[in-house]
Amino acid sequence: MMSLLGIAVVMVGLIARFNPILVITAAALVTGLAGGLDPLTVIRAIGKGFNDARYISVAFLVLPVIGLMERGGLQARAKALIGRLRSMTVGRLLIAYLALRQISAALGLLSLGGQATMVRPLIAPMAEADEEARRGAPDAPRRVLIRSHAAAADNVGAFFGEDIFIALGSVLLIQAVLQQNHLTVAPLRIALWAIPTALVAFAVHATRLALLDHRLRAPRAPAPTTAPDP
Amino acid sequence: MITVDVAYAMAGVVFVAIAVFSALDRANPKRWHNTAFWGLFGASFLAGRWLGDLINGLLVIAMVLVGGIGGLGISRPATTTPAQREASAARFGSRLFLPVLLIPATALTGTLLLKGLKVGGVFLVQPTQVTVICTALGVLLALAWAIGMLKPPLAAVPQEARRLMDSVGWAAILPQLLAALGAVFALAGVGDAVARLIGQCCRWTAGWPWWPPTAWVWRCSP
Repeated sequence: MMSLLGIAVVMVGLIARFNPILVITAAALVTGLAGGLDPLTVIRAIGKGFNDARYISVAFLVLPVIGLMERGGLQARAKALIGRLRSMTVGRLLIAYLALRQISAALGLLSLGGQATMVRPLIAPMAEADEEARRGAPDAPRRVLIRSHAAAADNVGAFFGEDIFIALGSVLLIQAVLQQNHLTVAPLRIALWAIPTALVAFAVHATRLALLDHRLRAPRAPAPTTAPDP
Repeated sequence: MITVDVAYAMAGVVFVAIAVFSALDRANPKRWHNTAFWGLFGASFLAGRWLGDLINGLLVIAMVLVGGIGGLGISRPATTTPAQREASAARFGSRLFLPVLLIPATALTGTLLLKGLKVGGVFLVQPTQVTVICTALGVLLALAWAIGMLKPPLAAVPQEARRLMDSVGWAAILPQLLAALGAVFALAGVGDAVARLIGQCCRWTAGWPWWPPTAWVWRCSP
């Protein structure tokens, strides 16, 4: 039971807005020690867990390419393109990307999108350019709001799309966990019953994006954030 | 067999290069923090396989202390001006998208074509990490294309990478840290503890006839 202390550390730490990497590391140490492991074993577990997960960070390899293309005017080009589409709004653009991401993920094409490969170089600049064409250059809070919605559309689409494709890790993980608990379920059925969830997720998030358009139309800027303009 | 270590080596080289250029950046007041952070991250990618769990764990804690307490500076390496970017965008047009799109395209076709491909009875590419390896391959091709198209000074490659990595900052290690936290949770039996806690709640509320979830929970419990 004491090992649940780590979850409390995560909650309190994140609510108190401490630096997340400090909070997560502290939670790992507390969980291990409270769970009766000795300190060196906990550090070994952290090291092994971190090392085994390096494949996640290989995505950063795209940054040199993105940086070079930005240097060559990639974002300027994305803005010029979106400027030609008069009926496009930030919300509609992101709804279209959400649908595209969800459908391609459902077909197993998860590697087609992503924060580093699509959102940063293409989707976010297009959304910002659209706002700029409509109401002038967005101030820092608006810019951050638009960028975070662009990132969220990618996440929601990928998350609620991949469960529909039977051969992806998520479905196999669900099956394995259920199997461990003596419930035998065919991957195809897991994938099938992911479809209602996916449709609801699309409806909910598309509504949020439509509301984003509404919010951007409001003359007053959204609640100020402390995020700097990078 | 081409293993995922190839992709890790590439990432390691990129992070070490970022560390080196951070060390040379006198304009960044926290340049030694950036150097240490990206250097350690690079070391994890280049040598993580051989360092052993304990050293890897200490390396993670060092990165967390540097990034979380010391803090990283955001560098502003020399890049092109907005006017230069507009001119370049007008010159190259939509061709600018091609190197960027080549990466997911390579990852995708590579995964479809190379998964399960055997040469002389051995997998050509490590079957469990085909997408990661093909992404790295796509990056190599895209980088060559981008350099050929834009003909930037060579130092621009690590400098542009540094500009973007510094804007990610300490958050770069967050996904891997969460994975490590998950590993510790599994080792310390957090899942079992949660299951026991819920079981106790069920037993505790079982005598409450007016408590609607009770019947439902009992029906669902094995």
